[in-house]
Amino acid sequence: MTRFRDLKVFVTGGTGFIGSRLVEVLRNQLNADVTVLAHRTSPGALRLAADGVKLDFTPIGDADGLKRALAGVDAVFHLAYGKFGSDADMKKTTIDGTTAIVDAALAANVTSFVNVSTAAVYFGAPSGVIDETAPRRKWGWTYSDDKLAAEDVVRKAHGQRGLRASIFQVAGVYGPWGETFVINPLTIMRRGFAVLPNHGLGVANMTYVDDVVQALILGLKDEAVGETFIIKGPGRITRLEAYRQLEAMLGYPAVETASTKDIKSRLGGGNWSAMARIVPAAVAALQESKAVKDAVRASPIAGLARPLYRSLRRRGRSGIVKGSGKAFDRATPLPRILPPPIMVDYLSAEVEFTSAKAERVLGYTPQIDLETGMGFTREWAEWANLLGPRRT
Amino acid sequence: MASQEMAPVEPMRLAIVGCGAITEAGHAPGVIASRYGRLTTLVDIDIERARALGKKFGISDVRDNTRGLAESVDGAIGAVPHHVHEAVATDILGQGLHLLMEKPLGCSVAECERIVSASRRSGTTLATAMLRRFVAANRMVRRIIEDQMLGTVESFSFDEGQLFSWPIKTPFLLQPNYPGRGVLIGNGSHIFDLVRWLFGDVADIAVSADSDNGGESDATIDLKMTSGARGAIRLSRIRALDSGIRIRFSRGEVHVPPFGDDVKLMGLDGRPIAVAKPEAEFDVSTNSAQMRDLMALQVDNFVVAARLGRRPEVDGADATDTIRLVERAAAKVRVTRMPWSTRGVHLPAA
Repeated sequence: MTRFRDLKVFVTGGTGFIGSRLVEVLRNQLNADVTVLAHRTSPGALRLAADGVKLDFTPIGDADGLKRALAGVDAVFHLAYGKFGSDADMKKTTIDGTTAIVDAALAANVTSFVNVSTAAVYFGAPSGVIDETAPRRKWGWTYSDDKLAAEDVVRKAHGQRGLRASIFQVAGVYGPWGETFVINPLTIMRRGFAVLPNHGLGVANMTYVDDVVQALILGLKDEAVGETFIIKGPGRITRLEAYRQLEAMLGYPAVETASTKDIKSRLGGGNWSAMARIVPAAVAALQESKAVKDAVRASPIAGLARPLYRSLRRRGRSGIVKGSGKAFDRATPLPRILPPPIMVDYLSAEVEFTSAKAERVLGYTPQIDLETGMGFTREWAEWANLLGPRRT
Repeated sequence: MASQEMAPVEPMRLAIVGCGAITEAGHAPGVIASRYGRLTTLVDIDIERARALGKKFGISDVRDNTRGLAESVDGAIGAVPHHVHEAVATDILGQGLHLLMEKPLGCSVAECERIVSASRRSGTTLATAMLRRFVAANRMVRRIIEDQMLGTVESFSFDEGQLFSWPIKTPFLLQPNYPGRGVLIGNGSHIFDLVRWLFGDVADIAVSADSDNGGESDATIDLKMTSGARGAIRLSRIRALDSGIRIRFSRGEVHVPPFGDDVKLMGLDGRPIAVAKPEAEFDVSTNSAQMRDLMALQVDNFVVAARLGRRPEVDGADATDTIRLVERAAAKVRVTRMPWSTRGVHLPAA
């Protein structure tokens, strides 16, 4: 492996959850020379700026600009994906952005191109243990589908143009600053009860962010080139076990389970009456989000947005409670918040990923078990004011 | 606002220099809603942006520079990135125009003093936009303190934290070596202004923050006031705090939400004494929390001050004192690294 002190590294998506932790480790633990692609003044970008990280503001769609930005770079970690705007906007960032960064990396003749993808591309696999030989597929979740397409861009660049690329499909990544498996569930659970399908028996494949960072750095090894690796943390963790850890942080009951069939029946199969229940559920989930409130407050359309927000909030409250049936205690005033329809099967799946290949080829050794990782996460969540006062 | 500030005066033609997010969301609607401001001109180096706002607000005079501005307006609002405040302010004041400058007045005391000097030389009114001073709840709190309704102030805390979402048009907050980019001068200039306005002079200050390079995104400040009161401030752009002000008096407590109208008065046992509705006393409508209306109040205060030769709510010297406090704070920053950031990652055979 290259000596890090001499390594010039370029990170896309470095202002995000995994990327910012990667940048911290590359700079502070390994003394690498790191530049991060930034496109907006986000909290993550502000954190990096506070830490003195070099930021590059080239738009990810600017192919020529990226070539200039990557000149002299040894390694690229590509984590960026489209998170905002329409599906088309997100596709453009994730897929076209990957094409642009791949072209720039080829022009710079980088020694390593580490592409970060998601194990969600294996959705639909049968229950059991899954490795990298399982079929990948698109299944309707924009994030996963676009990441899959981006993987194909990278594979093609490796196969046809010699890009020294590796692909890391990460699963269930949690830790400080993590949205999907920390901030979002805590936000829901502070508002009401998170309801898990399949009685919470879906396999969460929880992976503490530091283990992912370990794997990505190992991706600089020559042995990684041309390979795809699934990365997950230790043990077989169910969704319920993961949510119980978050519930313990809050200190009050905040998780319920139901059968997948029950939840699908309540969500109504995508018709308009179901939407009428989903919208309040989503709004209820967002009620506790200060980011949403602050965004509304700061918005140029605050005058219009505020009454709409209040109206939706009222609908959120009443909609959830009125919509509750036998499986969801009508007498309890707290809302039961169901997962979005597209995620029900995903959260139900009893598919355990294995990192055996990464362990064998790269020496990846997951270190952080759920209890330890959630302990680290908890100290951050307290600081971040995410554990808040008990619901009333 | 106190009624004498609203003495009828001749309306003032105003230009807004800088057409970023704050102008679109606040200054332009505020001038249009004001009693004495007349928005006639928009200026931005990005002329397309100026044109877009001109179209939105019905302003035909849009420009990409300030040359000859004094021929068509009497005053201006400066709403440009922090690091060009001095250049823009001295240019406008040098043209003999009255100026309402966005906060912070300057990025340093030296910059502020040069801006104040420019105002003195031209004999124009210099005001600084410290919007919180116009929030009715804050004005009520000041009255509670001044009148010692709950006794003397023993301690106070300000929490001001949100995940940064302001749609700024330029990434200057992320640029190294750009002055005025950290949370101490950004959000802090608001809070330090309120601290001075409400509680007087600061005797001692200690700061812990995530950076000492001037770009801090999270800071905790401990204050000892010359009155003997203790203060604690948390400022953040990277975490959502339960923002607001809490003041402990010798006979009770006051809680103020960040932009809310309700001021909660409590006894020392935490039991509520009253919920005050500041708008009744200060004749501010119930939507006083809305930026446009606050901006309008600020514009009227500025125009009246300029027309009648009065001191505006926050003049240049006052704003300079706030930046002096910001500089004191910045000089005392002790960098605190959080364990989740400094914990090492296991790297087998790396």
